[in-house]
Amino acid sequence: MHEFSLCQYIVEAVEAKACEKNFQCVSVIWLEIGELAGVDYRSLVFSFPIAASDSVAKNAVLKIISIEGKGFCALCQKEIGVKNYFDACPGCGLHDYQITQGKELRIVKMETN
Amino acid sequence: MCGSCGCDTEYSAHRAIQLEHDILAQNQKNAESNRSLFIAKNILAFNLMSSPGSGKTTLLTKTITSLKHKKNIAVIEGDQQTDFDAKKIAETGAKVLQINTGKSCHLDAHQIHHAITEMSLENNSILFIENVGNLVCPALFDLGETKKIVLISVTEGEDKPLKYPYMFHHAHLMVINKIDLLPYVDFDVNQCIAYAKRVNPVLEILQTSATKNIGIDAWCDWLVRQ
Repeated sequence: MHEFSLCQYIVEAVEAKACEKNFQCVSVIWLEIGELAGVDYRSLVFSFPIAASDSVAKNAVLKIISIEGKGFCALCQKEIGVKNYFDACPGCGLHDYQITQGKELRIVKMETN
Repeated sequence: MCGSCGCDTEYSAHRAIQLEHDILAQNQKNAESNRSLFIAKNILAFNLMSSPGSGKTTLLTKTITSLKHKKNIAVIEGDQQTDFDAKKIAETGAKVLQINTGKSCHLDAHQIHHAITEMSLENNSILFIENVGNLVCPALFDLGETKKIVLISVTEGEDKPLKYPYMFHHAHLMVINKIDLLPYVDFDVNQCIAYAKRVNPVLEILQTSATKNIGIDAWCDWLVRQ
């Protein structure tokens, strides 16, 4: 399940910051996850304690900010909401739009004690 | 005492530390390093993805047979366990390296970096990366490839592009394989293509039968044109 791999990357980034900023405990990690990023939030939250078990983040809670999917339809010259990659533009019914938002996979910030 | 983990370190207050860090930044960095090497050595690198059993390995063995007089070809095989696929590729005479991911469901750029370091790839060659059989996870991990290719076989059902939109959205080419079986299965090729185009309007499409050598020339032409 790729969410476990993503959790391992999160732990690595947090550990690197821990070395830089000299802290030992992380209590909260804030993530921005786009609705089109291909990530299951529940799997991520489930996997995280296992991935973080030997790290400064072992007791950290993940807080996820969901970023909605958006696109831009060049034919309609309008921004549209996109929930799935197969959604049609509600204006023209076509699929030739560009995704402009919703693929984010970011660690925004963390809180340490 | 720390209220989070119980350690004895004293802290004066909660600290918020901004990271603004892409979770896949390290993989992306490794992927770009791989990509730079491929460009420097003029290597066409293809990330081949599909469900297990769609015919990736068979298609590769036929491809190597067709192309090896024109191009040096190397293959990286990805599976959780065994080297069965690497052995099949080795029989064609192509250079091959097997990566066993253990429990992991996809290859990542770091693994590819180590593989290509070990393999000493030739300039002006083709590298195929046969990813772990999985229509979900491999699509998230850039390996540094020139193009992403998704394979689907006619025994799987024409609705796969809608069921697994992330994979098909991010692919450059969809190959519909096992077309020799079309008379025996309920697979609507036109519907499958229509579904795929909804998810990715610029997706290129090819049809093959690796076992019966159908469409292999067009597939090989596509590869060398990239």
